[in-house]
Amino acid sequence: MNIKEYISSGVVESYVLGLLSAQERFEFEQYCETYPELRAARESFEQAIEKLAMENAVHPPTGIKERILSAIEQKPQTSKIISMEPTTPRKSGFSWLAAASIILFLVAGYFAYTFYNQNKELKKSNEEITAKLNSVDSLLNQRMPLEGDNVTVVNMVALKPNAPSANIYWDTTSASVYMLVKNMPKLASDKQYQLWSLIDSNGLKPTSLGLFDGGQEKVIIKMNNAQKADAFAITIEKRGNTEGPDLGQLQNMGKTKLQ
Amino acid sequence: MLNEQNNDAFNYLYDHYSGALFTIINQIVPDKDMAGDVLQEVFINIWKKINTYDASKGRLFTWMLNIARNAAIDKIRSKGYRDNQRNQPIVETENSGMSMSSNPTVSDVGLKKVLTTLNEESRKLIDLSYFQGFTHEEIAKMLGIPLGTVKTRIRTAIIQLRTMIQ
Repeated sequence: MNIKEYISSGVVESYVLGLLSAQERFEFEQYCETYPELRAARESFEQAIEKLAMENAVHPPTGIKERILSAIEQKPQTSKIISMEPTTPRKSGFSWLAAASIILFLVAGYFAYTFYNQNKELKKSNEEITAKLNSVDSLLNQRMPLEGDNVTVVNMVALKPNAPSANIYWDTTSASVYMLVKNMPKLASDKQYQLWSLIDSNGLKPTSLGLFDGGQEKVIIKMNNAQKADAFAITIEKRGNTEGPDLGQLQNMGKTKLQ
Repeated sequence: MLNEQNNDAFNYLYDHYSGALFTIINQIVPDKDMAGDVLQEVFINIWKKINTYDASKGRLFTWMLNIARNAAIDKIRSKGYRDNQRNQPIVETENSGMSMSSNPTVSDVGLKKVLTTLNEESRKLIDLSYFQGFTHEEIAKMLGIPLGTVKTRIRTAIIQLRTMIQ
């Protein structure tokens, strides 16, 4: 990529002003990690905008600061205050009866509706549990070797604050690799995580062990086999990535041998 | 809860930046009181989300500016706001946002002032995308020009803008 052309294309200003699409923004942030001159261009436009905005600052109406302070000093309130309008009382025995019957009707309706929804939700969660059980069953049927002398357990060390949390179980005899996902933060829909095996003697040449989606927790995923591995790594890649790893997006790494 | 240290931090942020942020909000939401409400919401949001601010992605002011701009655009796009506007006497064309000059209550300062030095078309495009938050797709539909053309023209306008600011 020609970074000079990229910088002068207006992308820097669009980024700072918040006019890029999510995809373009992501790209820009990636390039910023690689190209210091891009970061410098961004910083310089940010300063210009900030200067312009500060020079044109207008005093906001008074009292706002106090309102904000009292809002953040209180614990956030989730309930809304509903003001009760005084109504003129009616002098009719019948209206009481009518009101009571309407209330009764509403209450009955409410319960019917709640039970219906609860039933629906129970059915749904029942189905989900069955599906989970089935997938666990099928894994167990493969006699997953999570323990044994020939199984190396690799604890993946987080390298980013929001990195996923996982352990790798690598059976060195059968070369099978299982990943126990403790927690995988959700990703944008066009992104996936990718597991790599790295081999030292190869200049840490990465081999893909497969892509998987974020937003999962406490699941076991069977990955591609690895005959040899000195370390495992997890990166974030575009969905269906067929290229090498984006090391700027390295999330976790774990070595197979203790040193 | 605010402890004393946080209180100082909040005071600093507010005293230092509220004016600049108010200007940008007021350029999007012309009614001063309403813009004040948005400013309040913006600072509460800034306060809640301050630990998600990532310095590697830009300056603090840029981050706050974008929160302010988004909140202001959300406001003018909210149903309540649009219903309220409908009840106001219509000053000019129905789609008053299409022309920069149609809104006399917006102060011509800052970025808006810089905009006045651009040609009519660039000005309109920046106004629609930056001050009114329309996507490129929406602008293309609105003006009946191809999406690619909208994208290049906005980029061109932004490059002109940069030379004027820097």
